[in-house]
Amino acid sequence: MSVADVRQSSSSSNTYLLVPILLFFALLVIAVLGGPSLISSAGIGSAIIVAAPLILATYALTVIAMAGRVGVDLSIGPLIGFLNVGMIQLYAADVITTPFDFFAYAIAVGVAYQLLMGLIIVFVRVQPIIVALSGFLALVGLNLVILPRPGGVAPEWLMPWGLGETILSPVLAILVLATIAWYFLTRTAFFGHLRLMGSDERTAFTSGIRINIVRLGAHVVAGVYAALAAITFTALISSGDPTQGTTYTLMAVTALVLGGTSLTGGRGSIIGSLLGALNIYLITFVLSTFSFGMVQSFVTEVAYGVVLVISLLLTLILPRLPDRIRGISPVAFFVILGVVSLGVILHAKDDIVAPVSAPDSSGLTVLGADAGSSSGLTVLGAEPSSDSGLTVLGADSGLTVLGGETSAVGQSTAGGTALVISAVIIAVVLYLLYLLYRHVSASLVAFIGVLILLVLGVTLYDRIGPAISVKDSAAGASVHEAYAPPPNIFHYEVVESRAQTSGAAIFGPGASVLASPLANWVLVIVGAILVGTLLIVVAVHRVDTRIRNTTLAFYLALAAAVAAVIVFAGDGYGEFSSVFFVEAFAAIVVGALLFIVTLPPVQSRIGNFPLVMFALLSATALGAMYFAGGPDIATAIPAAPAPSAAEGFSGVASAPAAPVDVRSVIFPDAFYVEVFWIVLATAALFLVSLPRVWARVLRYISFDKGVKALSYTGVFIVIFSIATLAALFYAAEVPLWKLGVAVVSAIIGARFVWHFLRHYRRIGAPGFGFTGDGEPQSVREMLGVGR
Amino acid sequence: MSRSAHIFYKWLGFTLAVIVSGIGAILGWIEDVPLQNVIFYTAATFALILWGWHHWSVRWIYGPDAIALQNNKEGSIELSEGDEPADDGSGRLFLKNLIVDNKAIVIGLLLLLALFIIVSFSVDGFFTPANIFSSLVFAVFLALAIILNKYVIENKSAFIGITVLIGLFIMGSLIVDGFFSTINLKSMLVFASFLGLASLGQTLVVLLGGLDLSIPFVIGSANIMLMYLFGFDILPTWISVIIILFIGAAIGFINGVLSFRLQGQAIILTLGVGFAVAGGTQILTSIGTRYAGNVHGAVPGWLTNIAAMNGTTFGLGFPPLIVIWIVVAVLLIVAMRNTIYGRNLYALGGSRIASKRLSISERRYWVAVYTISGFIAALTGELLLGWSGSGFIGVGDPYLFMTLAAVVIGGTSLLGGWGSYGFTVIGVLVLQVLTSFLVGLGLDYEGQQFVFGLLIIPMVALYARSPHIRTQI
Repeated sequence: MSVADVRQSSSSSNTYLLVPILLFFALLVIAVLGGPSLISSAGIGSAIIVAAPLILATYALTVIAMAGRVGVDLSIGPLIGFLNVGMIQLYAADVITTPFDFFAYAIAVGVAYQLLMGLIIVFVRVQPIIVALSGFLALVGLNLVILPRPGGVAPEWLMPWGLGETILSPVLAILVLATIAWYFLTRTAFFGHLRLMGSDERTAFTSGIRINIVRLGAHVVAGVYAALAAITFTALISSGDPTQGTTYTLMAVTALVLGGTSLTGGRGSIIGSLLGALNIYLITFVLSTFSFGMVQSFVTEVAYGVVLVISLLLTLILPRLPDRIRGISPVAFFVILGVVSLGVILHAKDDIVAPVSAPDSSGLTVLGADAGSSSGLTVLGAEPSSDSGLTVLGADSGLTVLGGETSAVGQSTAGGTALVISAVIIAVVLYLLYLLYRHVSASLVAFIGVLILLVLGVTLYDRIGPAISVKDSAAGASVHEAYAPPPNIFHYEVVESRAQTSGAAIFGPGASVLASPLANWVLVIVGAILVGTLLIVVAVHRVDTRIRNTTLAFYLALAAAVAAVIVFAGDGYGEFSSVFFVEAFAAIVVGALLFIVTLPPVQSRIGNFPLVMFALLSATALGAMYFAGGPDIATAIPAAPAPSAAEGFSGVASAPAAPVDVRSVIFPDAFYVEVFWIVLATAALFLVSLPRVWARVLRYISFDKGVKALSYTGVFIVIFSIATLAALFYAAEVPLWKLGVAVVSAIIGARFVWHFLRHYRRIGAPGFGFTGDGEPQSVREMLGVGR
Repeated sequence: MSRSAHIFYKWLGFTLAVIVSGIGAILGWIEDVPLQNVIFYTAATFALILWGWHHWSVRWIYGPDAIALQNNKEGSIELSEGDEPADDGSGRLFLKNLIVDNKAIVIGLLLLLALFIIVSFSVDGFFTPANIFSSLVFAVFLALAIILNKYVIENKSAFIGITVLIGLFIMGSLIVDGFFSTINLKSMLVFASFLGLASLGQTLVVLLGGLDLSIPFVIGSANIMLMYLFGFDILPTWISVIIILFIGAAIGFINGVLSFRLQGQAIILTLGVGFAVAGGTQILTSIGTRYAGNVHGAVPGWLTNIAAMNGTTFGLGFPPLIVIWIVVAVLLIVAMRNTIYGRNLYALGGSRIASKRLSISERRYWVAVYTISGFIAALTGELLLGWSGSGFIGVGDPYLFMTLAAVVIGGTSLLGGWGSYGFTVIGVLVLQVLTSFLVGLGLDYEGQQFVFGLLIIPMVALYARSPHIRTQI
């Protein structure tokens, strides 16, 4: 074993997960854009059944590879084929018929075969690769002897398994159970022994581990997984095939390497293998969405090879990256990318733009942008495509720009929305990656918590579908004939029109009166906080110039992106709007808002700056609750029960008269509101800059015990953020119970998110919560008291 | 071991050489082979067997003392035999002792005989002269091999390989009709040349502790790319051949550079490169044609002559391919033993750290062996084009595991540092003769693979067992 191998196997396995995660989401986005049918019940169902044998085969390889000695079991593919043809032939001979028989046969034979291999490796002491090679050759020959050509039939009960029409199928159950079983396996001492033996067999031996038993155990586990793979494979093809199984060897090995498992042993994770196998499936899927004609299979081959080589090279590069990036938690990475790609999926599924032409252009754009993104993070600040939105700074708020730029129509091709959204998403991802690299901290925790909630809000949101618009037009009551499905609450023009036609029935009596001013208020508040935060960051001295510039750059990019979205999407409802536009716009705006709100505490040198932001945030949350949602909703909700209820829109349901919104009389214009908030923020800043005031308060909310205090502080940041967001969504008519579910789950989840992310600061820069040595600050230090 | 044993083995080898070359000569004469060919082959066989026997038997008997024996002539033998009581210098006594000392083997042979008799009585038509003779030969050979095995200390794998080879040869000649005909021998040698050339790069790579799975893909790609270039008709054919060779070397170079830091996973990396190369070549050759992945064209005559079965070398009735392989093999074996590069390669395979202390550049050698591997693989692909006459991407597929199997059966250690191309040649011959034998028995390709798979483990287990873990601490 060379020096490089030692270095690789000694570093954390977490870093190696980053590559498969990144690749998975990149492929997922491209796949969804290229073939939206993937995200449907049938699409996911068929994906599960097609990918299941590969996933399980990769599991089997993982455990053997972890046992060390470069033990890649090349015979896994022929073994699957062997079990397959054996099953079919025995079924034809009426020896095995029931599911129990099948499972018993497959597991018994699979385990027996793997055990035989293990015994040869352990006691004959031949290198595993040679044993695997001879097993490969022997089984390939044997399969063709058992079943010379594809044929036979699977039993009746197995047939529906392979249809893949629904997501919930026995195959999925097998997959889930196999994964859970692995999880329990990792809890055993056996697993620890396996890892130790894989990374250093001699140490394991001298530590008293019975390495022979452990190695045999690894083979037994692999045999079980191989048996499950064979059963799902049989379900997939519903017949016997002596040669098809063999192809799984190369695919599974590729998936194994993609998943970050070290072939030299000791390092490997089931999540990585799962992602690796899914990546292989997605590569095939993506390539099938392009039409390469007769060279299709060759292109697939090239893609396999190139992906394999690149992922191997990445595992080479990863350990050499700075410590910072090695501290990135795969969980955080997964969450962020997952949110982003979920947005794309929503877009691709629900975008009513032009389902035919849009995916092609945007898919290619994503490809190109992805390739270009490796060059650096400068894309972020530049965002050159949207020149119109760059004047945001001069104006008083981004929201004004939203309204103002509506007329400046840019290119009006059908794929425009998808293109812009892709660009925005890429910019955001790049920026997040950059932030992960620079500093990972409480603010990011908050941000991620917010994103989780956003996703919940988006997915739980009651959609007002096309049916409603039909009903409206049929009733003749609709002002916007062409207005199609998305409830464009955050859309400025809709808001405007609603505000103008206040009282007219758009969604039903009562609701419209409520909706338009509320949405307007929400927009105003968001803009106010954005501007206020920006002013604070830019104006307050002792904020690091780098932070200041970063904030400005982010702000510019955000505003430009938002403006571009408006330009493309705000033109005509029927043709250009999309569900993704609405909700992702909300997500971007609010997420960015909260991110910026929590950014300064991290890098500021002002000791108690976090508390400033606390105050601002909580005040905003309360204010938003009161002004935007508040009593109006409390009185209105009983009248218009739920937007999805059909009666609510047919105009049949009786509704009380709309309450008069007195607050709009007091603050008739957005400008005053902004001024008010800025003043309020300044006052809060002044207030909390007196440390003694807040030292007492904090003593109650944090537990004042070193690290514990810190972790609870992080939780509170998350909770505050979530509360703010909850208020915004509350204002946006999301039903209360759904919001409650989202908030409760997010608050519960926040503790775990913080827990996962806590280790960042240990290797990060000095800042909020930690001294430069990576030790946690006491609360006293955090507050700047007693310096 | 004593001088009596030495004498015994010396004459045994001489007898064997006479018998084998005599059989060859008689068969050649029967089959109306031209006279000069018979003489040529007989002399060559005789000389080769004598040389090999002398070379190996001395080593087998004396092991590490062999060199001392050669240097000091009789002197050191006197020292080492010291307390041999019953040594009167004759071979006969030694034979007697041999039987007494190997009671177990004798009993085993008797049991085999009993088994044979039982089978003869129970199965009709088994008791034929051919079967009797073949069983007898097989038993004698087996006993001989087992006895000799005790004295083999170095190069055990080569001994086992040669033993199996000779055993297979004997069995094949006796059982399979036409096995020992010149046409079959020639075809075996032609196929062995392809496999041998394909395994050459693999051997070098394995000597450094790596593996190159891109070989079959490079072979297939070179095969269709050469046909593709022939189809253009703008380049002289020999320039096309050279271009392909350089492209092959470049692919090998890429393999080496990319896998240098990933030595533990070179097997997978080269596989990935192989995929990319094969797919890319097929895309390239498919552009502008209606036949995806198929290339049609005419192969120049000189290339066909080099590799085809009916090619001639200076008028002699075998294709130049065989000569090329033999020359390359001999050159390589000599170079590996005697040049600084060869020795450095072994040093690197043996211990990276020690080699570093000696200022041997690991990177340079690693990349070089992969480059050679790619070059040779491209050469093999071109020769296969000459042999078959039509381009086909899958032509290299059997070589994916066969090259590895040849190296492993030959006895080169997959951990590096131990082995030789000579061993691989033995492995190649074993595989080829076995294939021919199995084909003669009527097995199809799947059956052959099955047998190969079952054969590898016992072969390797005989000489390449890892030490027990407790001895590695």
